[in-house]
Amino acid sequence: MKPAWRRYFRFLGPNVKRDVDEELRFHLEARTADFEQRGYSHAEAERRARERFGDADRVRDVLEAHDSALLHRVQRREFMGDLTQDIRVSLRGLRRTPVFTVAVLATLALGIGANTAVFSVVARELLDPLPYRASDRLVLLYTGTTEHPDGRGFVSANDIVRLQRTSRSLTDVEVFGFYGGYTYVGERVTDAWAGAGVGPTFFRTLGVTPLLGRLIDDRDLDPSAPPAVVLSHALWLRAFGSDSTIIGRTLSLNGVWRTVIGVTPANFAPPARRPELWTPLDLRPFLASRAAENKMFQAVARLAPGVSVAQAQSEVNLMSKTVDTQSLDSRALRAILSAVPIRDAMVGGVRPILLVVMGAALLVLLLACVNVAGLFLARASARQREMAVRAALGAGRWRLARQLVTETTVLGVAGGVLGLLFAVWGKNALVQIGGGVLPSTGAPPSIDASVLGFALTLSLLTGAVAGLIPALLSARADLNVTLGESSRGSSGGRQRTRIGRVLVAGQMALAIMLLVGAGLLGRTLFALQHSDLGYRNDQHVLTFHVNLSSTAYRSPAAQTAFFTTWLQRLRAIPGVEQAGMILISPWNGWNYSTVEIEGRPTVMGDSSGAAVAPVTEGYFSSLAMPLRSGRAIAATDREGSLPVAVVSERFAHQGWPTGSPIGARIRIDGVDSTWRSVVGVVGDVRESPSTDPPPAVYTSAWQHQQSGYEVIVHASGNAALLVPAIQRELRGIDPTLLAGGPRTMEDIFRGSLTSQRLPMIFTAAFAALALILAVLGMYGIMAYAVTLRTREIGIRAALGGDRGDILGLVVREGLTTAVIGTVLGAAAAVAATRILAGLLYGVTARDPATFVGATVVLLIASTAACLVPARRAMMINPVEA
Amino acid sequence: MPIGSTDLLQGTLQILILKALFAEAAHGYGIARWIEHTTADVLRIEEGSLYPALRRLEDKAFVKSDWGLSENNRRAKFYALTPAGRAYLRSEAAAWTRYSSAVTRVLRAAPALT
Repeated sequence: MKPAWRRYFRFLGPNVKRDVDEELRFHLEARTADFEQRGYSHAEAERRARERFGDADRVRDVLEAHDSALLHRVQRREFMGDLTQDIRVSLRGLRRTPVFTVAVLATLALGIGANTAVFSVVARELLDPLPYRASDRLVLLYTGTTEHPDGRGFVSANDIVRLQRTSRSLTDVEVFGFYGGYTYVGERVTDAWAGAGVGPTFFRTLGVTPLLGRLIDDRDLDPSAPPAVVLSHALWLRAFGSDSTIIGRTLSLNGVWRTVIGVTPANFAPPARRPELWTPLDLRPFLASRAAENKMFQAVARLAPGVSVAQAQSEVNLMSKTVDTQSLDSRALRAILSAVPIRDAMVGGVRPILLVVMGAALLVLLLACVNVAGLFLARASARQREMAVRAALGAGRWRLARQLVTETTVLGVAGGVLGLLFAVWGKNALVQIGGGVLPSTGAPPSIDASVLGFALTLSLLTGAVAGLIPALLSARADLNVTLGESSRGSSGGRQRTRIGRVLVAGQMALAIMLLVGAGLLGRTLFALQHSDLGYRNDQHVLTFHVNLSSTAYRSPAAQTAFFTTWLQRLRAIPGVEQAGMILISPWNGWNYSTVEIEGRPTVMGDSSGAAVAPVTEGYFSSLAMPLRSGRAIAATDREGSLPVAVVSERFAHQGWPTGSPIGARIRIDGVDSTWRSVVGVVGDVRESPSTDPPPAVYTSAWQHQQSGYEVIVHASGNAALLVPAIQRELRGIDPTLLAGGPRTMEDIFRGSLTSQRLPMIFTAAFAALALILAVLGMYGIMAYAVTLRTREIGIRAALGGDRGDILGLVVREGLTTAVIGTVLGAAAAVAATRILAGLLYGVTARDPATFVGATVVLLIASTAACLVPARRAMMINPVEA
Repeated sequence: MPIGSTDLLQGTLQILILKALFAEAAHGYGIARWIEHTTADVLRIEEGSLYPALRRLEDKAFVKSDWGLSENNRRAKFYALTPAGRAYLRSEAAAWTRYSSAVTRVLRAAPALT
C-alpha cells in the first residue's frame, strides 16, 4: 500500500517474527488505549484487552509458522524465475558466439571426460567391494624374510597344513595356485589353456556361486572320484560357445580325461592370476614328499570372528618363529609368514598407479577450468558494454556475477554430457592398456550411478569455478568507467589483461607439473626397457611350452626319447639358431628350494632358498646368458653320467666368496637327495628390472626327467614367424601335441612393463592436452593484449619505432608470464613428484634433466603462441590504428 | 447478551471479516472494532482468532495485506479486499441470506414457540 514499506521489504528482507509480534502488539495496545479512554486503569485496561484477545501465544505461533512457510515459497519461486531467466540469457549469448561455445565445450568435455573415465576404473578397482563373500575378512598368506617382512613369496604345503591345524585367528585356510599349462586335445582342435589347482574349500571360502554345475569340493579329493575340472566363464564362452550341456562332458587335458563339473560366473576373478580352468589340488602327496617345505603355493584364509588383521598377523608371525626354533635345520630361520588383507594384496600394486593417473586427470581439469575462465574473461571485454548497461539499469553486481556463473555452469553440464561420451571411450582404452595389472575381471567398467554422480558433480563444480574466477576478478573493474569511454585502452581492459596473464601463468604452472610427471615416467619406462635382465629379451627369442599328455610318455625313458628327438628336429628348422628347454622360466616364476653345500652346516640362498631349474643344453646360449667359468649343461649330462649343476654368479659368490665353486658338490632339498657336482657358473638373471637376481642353480633336465618344459628358441629373424613351422614339426612327431602359448621375449617383457606404461601413457596424454590448452590460453591473452594496444603500437610505428622492437615487446611480455608460471609450477612439481617416487626406476623424482626439458618445451611452445599475435602487432598499419 | 465467539462458525467469521473490509482497507484491530460496533457487541468474537482467519483468507487470495501507518501514525498491517474476495463475499452473502430466512421460516412455523 505504501511503496516506502515495499522497498524496506525488498532490501532488508522480511523478518517474520518481528512482523507478527508487531501486528499483535499493535492490536493489544490499541485495545488497551480504548479501554483506558472508557475510564479503566491502565492495568485493568491491559487485562481486559488480553482477555478479549484470547490466547495470544498460540495465535503468535500459528501466524509465525504460516508466514515463514509462505516466505520460503515466495523466495523459491523468485529464485527459480531468476534462474530460468539466467539460463535463457546464457543460451542466447552462447548461440551468438558458436566458435567460443564450441571451444569451451571441447575443453570442458575433455577435462570432465578424462576424469570420469579414470574415476570409473578407480571406483571399480579401489572402491567397489571385491566379488567375494565378506571380502573384508579375507586374507592372503605370504612368505617374507627377516629383511623384507612384506615380501610376497609363496608358501609351502607344510605352512598351510600347520595353519589349518593350529591357527586360532584364521579359519578356512585353503591352498590355491600351482599354475600350469594344460594341453586340450579335442576332436577337431588342440589348444593350450592356463590352469590352476585349488583346494576343496577354495570356492566356498570366497563365496563363489557356480554359473553351471558345481565347483570343486571335498568329493573331488576322493582318490576314487573321477578327475574333475571347472571352466572359467571366458573359456566356456571361447572354446565351447557357452554350451550349457557342457556339464558331465569329459575333456582330454594333458592326457587325463577330466569331467567338467562346473563353470564359474562371469564376474568371478580369482585373487591372483587369471587361469582359464581349475582342477582339484590335494596337498597330502606333497606333505609326504621332499617338497613339503617348498614355497610353491598360494593360500587364502578367513579371519576368525572378532579377530583383527593385526592379531592374525602377530599369531602367524609367532607361528613362523616357533616353527623355526623347533626345527633342527636353520634353513627356515629367516622366513616369516604374513597375512595380508585380500584387497591390499590384490590392488596394493595398482593403487599408486591409478592414483597418479587420477591426479594427472584432475590437474588437467583444473587447467581446463582456468582456461575457460580465461576465455570468459576475454569475452567479458566484448560484453563489457552490455554488462555496464545492465548494471546501470539496476542489475546488482551479484546478479551479474550470477549470470556469468549460470553461463559457465550451463556450459559445464553440457561439457559433462559430451565428456561422458568421451569417458566411455577413455575407460575402455584405460582398461585395454592396463588390463594386465588391473585385478578385476578385465572387462571395462560400466558407467553406473556413482560414476554419473561423479561426472555431474564435477560438471557443476567445474562450471561454477570457471565462472566464479572471472566474476570475482572483474567485479573489481569499475563498470561505470566503461560506459563513458570506448573499451579500447580503458583501465578495465588493462586490468583484464593483467588478470588474464595471471590465469595464463596458472595454466603454465599446471602444464609444467604434468610435463615433468610425464617426463619422469617416460624416462622410467625408457630405463626399464633398456635395463639388463641378464638374458636376451628381443623378438629373436620365442618361448612356448610343451606338455607330454598321452600315456605313451609315462616313463622317464619315453620322455627323454621324445625330447631328444624333438630338440634335434626343432634345431633343424630353417631359421632356428639354437634351442633349449627349462622346467619353469624366470619370467613365469622360479621354483625355489633350499640347497645344501657338501661339508657345510648351513644352507644356501635367501629365506625361500635358491631358484632351481632343470635345463637342457642350448638353454643358456639361446638366451645369451654369459658363461663365467667352467662349462654349461651339455647334451651328454644324461641319466647314469655324473650328476651336474651349473650355478649363477650370485650363488657362487654367496657360497664361495673367494674361491671357485667348480668341483664342489651340492644337494637340492626339494628335488631329491642326489649330490651334484658344480661344473660351471653362468650370469645372473633378474625376474624384473627392479628386483635383485636370486641365487640360482641349474640342473640337467636329462638327469631328472619331467613331462613338460618351456622351450626357448633363438631365431635369426623374427622368432614369431617360426611358430607355424614349429607346430608342424611337433605334430609331425605326435599329432596330439601343441606348442602352448607361444610368445616372443619382447612381448613378454613389454607385458611385464604394463604397470609402468599405464601411468606413463596417460600422464603423457594429459600432459599433451595440458600443453595444448596452456598454449591456446597464452595465444588468447596475447592476441587480446595486442588488440587493446593497437593504437599505442600504431603510434609507435608512426613515430618510427622499429618493428622488431614491437615484436620483441609482445614476445617479452608473453614470455615473462610463461617464465613466472613455469617457475611456480616447477616448485610445485618438486613437491608433487614425491608421490611418483615409488613408480620411478633409474631416475630420481627431482631429475634436473627432466625439469629442464619440460621447461624448455613449455617455453618454446609459449614463444610460438606469442609470435602469432606479435607478428600481427608488427604489421599494424599506423593509419588504421 | 453477547454470543461467545466459540459459537461462531468458521465460515461466519470469514464473512464478517470480508464485510468489514468491504468499504475500505483496515488493520486487524479496525476489523474487530467494526464488528463490535456494527453488531452492537452482540457477536463478541475472540479477537485473537481474527488473525489466523485473515491468513486463511489471504491464502485464498480474498484479501491482501500490506504494512502502512495507523490513524495515530504507528506501523500496522492493513488488509484489503481483492476483486476475488469481493465476488466471494457477494455469493456467500446471498447464500447466507437464503439460509437464514429459511431457518427463520422454520422457527416461525406453527405452532409458535411462545
